[in-house]
Amino acid sequence: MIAITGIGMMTPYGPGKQSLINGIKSGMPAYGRPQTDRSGAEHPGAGMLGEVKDFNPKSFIPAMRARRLSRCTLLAVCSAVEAVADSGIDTSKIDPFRMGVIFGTGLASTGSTDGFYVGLLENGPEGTNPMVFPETVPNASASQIAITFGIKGPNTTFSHDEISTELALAYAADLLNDGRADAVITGGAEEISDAELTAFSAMRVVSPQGMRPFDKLRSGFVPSEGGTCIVLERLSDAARRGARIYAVIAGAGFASAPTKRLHYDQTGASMASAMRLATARAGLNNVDCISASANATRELDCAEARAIKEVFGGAAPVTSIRSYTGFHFADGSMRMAATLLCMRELGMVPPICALGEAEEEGVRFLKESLTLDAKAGHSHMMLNSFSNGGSAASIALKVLMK
Amino acid sequence: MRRSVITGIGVVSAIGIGLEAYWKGLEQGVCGIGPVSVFDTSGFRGKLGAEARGFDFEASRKAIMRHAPEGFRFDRLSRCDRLGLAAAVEAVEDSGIDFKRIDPERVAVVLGSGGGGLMSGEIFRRIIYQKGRGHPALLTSFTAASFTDLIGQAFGFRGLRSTISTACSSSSTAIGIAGDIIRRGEADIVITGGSEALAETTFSGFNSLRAVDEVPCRPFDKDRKGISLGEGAAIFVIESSEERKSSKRPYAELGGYGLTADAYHATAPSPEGIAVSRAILDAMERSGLAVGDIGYINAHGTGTEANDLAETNAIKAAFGRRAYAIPVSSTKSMIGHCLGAAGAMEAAAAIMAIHMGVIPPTANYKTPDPACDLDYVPVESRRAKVNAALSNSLAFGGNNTSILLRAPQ
Repeated sequence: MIAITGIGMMTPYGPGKQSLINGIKSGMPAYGRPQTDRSGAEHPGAGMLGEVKDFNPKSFIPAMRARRLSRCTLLAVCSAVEAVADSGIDTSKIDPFRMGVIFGTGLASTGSTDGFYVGLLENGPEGTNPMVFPETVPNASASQIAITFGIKGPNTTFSHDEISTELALAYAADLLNDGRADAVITGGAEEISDAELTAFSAMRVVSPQGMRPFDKLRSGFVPSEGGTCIVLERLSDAARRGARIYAVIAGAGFASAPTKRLHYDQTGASMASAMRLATARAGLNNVDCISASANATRELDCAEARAIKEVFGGAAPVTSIRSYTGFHFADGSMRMAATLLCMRELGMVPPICALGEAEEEGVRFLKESLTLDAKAGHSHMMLNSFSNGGSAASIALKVLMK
Repeated sequence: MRRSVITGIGVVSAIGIGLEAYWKGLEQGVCGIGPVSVFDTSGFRGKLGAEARGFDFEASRKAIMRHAPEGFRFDRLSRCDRLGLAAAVEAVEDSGIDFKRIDPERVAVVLGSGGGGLMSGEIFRRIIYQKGRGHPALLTSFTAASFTDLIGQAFGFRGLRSTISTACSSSSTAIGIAGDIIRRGEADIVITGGSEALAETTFSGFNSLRAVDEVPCRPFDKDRKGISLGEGAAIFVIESSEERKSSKRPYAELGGYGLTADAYHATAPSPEGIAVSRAILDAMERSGLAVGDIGYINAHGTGTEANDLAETNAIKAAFGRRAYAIPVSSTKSMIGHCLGAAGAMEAAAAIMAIHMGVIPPTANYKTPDPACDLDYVPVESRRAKVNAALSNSLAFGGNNTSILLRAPQ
């Protein structure tokens, strides 16, 4: 059994997990008009974005070091600093080879990658900036987290679009179960860059009005960014050192379908398979909450709704963290942490933000917050993550109530 | 215990298209590093690369069409996708497995790539830079997950899909994780390996770091001046030893692997190589093998001053005096540094060394370096019975992977 003992988050609500809890409690979405100058980006409509507000890396790491890192890496490293402090693990007192970093990112430091390439276009082969190149690799975030704490154990980065952080979490749990590490920092990070906005704009997938998953009036997604780190340990170790235990990983399921790239599995078969595998491994028949993957595109929303109906009937309450924060590829660990924090700290499952009329019937979409039975001591949630190209991941958690 | 046996291999490389041509090139010490044609390299200090020049996707396309569902689109593939699909169809057909008779949910696809469809993204960006508006179809294949998804789609597999992207160790780690999936029974067959295409960003990146040799790279040589970038793909079909579907004798078995971090620097390896030696020792321990069992090491051996010294130190730290008795070669001297595909292409070399009883050489090696004083199998391949081999991959940011391959048990 693997326990979650530390959480750190840099989200569009601001730095720190408390800003996220307060934000979701307020019922207002975190995204809005950009704070930073986006004049370099071709961006449609009203330009809604889920930028991480008031993010000041210098309050987490030395300013000199922060200057050299991309925004994606900074979001990762700063959330790791919060997560490790939250876990109470003293990284200076553990064998560095017994702690690992297993991370997920979809597009990684797109600003650095684009900036480096534009330097080549503008200045030619001898005019590129060698300081930027190291930040273009997707494993920069995990490597810099390792450098921050001197962690030398297993370190790797998954980059599989929308299931990157789910693959990372499941692998981190496997490493602990196999006894290859005693603690693992897992999670994901992604940054918004002008290059990314220009690309999304060309693909015509961005909503000018706001993000309304499952809603009949959906109009596409709002791009967002963020970093979330989660500290995992074996439950027995966590209990022995008296750590606070947020939740226990109950089971994970992965599946896929032969779906075209940039499309979602419209049959929902891969989604149903992933949910069934996760519930079977967790020994569950139902869950208290499904934190949905829906990203306000018709294909994904409808397929996920039908798959949920197929697996759980109309019983399982469904919420969407993306309706508050916007959407990015590596947001799985953020959605998982946000959902479990609401369940544990607030004793409730938040409603889907601004849901009007849902398109699919027979699913229990939450329009009001759902109060959980605190006396039960625990409740179960399921994180869904379904990727373009047809990959599906579901993770079941047992959340320990406060 | 469920062990992982390797029953299908497909390779695309600068020294040969297909496993047979690849192995012939390695055995003969052929250097595939030369002029690059996929983009203009005339302005760079290091102009050479190991381009898969003989690669013709048309032949592979016909083979893929025998497997792919109706409507499978060939028109939006990146070069990384094409290299990967070509190696995948060779591996699948080489295994002789009739996948139509296998539960598709029990087949996983776990691959590694560093840049993925970076070159498609570059074309998109260049058009925007020049004309102000790009074509979004180019982004279909931009991410590293693209070729994993396409291989899953082309063959109708429905199991877990995963893509690892840790620059130069991506596909080594993918292969290690594929073995875990078999061992835990999460799939009966895993398609694993990696693919990487040459791209301007990485080409100029390594040039900007002054890490590219102006002549074909010379790993472990005293006069080494850096890497030569390359491209290619190597894909494997691995199966559970308990549920064999292929009737072939396996090429080799996958042993354990080690995964560590230097926690040292964004690009440079830690000079003592302690974390790398730890990865090597972990790989042996998890295979139940000892120092004396290793008959060959396929080194990361990039040809940079820092890498080759750190890796030599790591091998000495792991093997002690026995380090001098183990043949260590860098096949990057022939196929270039294929970044995200390097680990898989080098695993293919180590597997074939076991299978054929021949150790591929370090080409271009002339002048011994007193600081790098192991047996680097200079220039000519060597006959030797190899029961177990290691393949090392050391990446940017200090992400180290060592995987162990062994003769079928």
